[in-house]
Amino acid sequence: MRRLITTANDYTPALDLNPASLTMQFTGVSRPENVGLFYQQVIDWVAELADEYDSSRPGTLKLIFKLDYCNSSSQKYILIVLEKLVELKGIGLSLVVDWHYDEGDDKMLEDGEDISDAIGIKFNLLPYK
Amino acid sequence: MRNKKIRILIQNSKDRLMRKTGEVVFLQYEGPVKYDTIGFLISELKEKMFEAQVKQAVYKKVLMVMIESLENIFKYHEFFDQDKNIMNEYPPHITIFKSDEYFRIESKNLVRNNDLNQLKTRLDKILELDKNGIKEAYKQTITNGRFSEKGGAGLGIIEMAKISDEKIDYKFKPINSNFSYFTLTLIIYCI
Repeated sequence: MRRLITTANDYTPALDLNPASLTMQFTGVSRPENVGLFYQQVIDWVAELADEYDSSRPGTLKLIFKLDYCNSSSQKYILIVLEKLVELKGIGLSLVVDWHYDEGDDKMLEDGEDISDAIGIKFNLLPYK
Repeated sequence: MRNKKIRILIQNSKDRLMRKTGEVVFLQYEGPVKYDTIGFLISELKEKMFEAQVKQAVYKKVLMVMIESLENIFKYHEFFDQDKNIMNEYPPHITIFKSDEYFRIESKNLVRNNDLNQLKTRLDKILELDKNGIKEAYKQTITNGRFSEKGGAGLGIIEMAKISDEKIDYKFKPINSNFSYFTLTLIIYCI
């Protein structure tokens, strides 16, 4: 299965979706001009993972968010991605979410708490300096 | 009636703050809003915040309000682009005022009168909520909210209300049978 890597720019985060290490990393700023188009590639990748994952080998998928800014439309799409990932429990993949935030950035901390609360999964809220 | 009272309270509160500390225009933009315009204003704000040594937590809140306001204007700009006279007279506008104690972010843009009631209802519902109620509305909207044809999910205004340190304030100025000029004001404390 393919590894999806994209570079960051002023509007979109860098993506590193790696089926070998079972990690999905989002780094940078998320306020794409076309938010649906940007996150569709992530949703498609998750669908591929669901099709191709060997369900006889239970594992843990780790989501790593290191975002400086995330607009409200992106938050909605992150929730949609999380909903898709929760469904992977059926093929033996459990989910861990690491939400990194700058220790002085209450807004990114609150975003992590609120998305975590909305999806009903406990995020690891990890401050950095 | 209750909303009227709330708005009067906010105005009184603003007046008290203004008398106490005064305000200066920190950043102002008026004109068409393209996607690049938002990027340009983000850079401007970042530079000014750095110069003014504003705490990151405050900066990020003001940034968020500015971006959500501008993205909202950008999403709906083509409804008004055809009518150049109206656009020239009532252009998209954002001013960020700063005092020693708070930032006041005021955005103005045209809205279609057809959309006015829905927007007003949504804003009035938010105004009735306390902080916990706003959090619950966020949760409901992010999990159940449908995207509009413009990609909005109604989350933007809830997001702004969530971080605003005072109740959001709004007003509509009727222009003609088709359009009104919408003003939205939020306060972020510099604490």
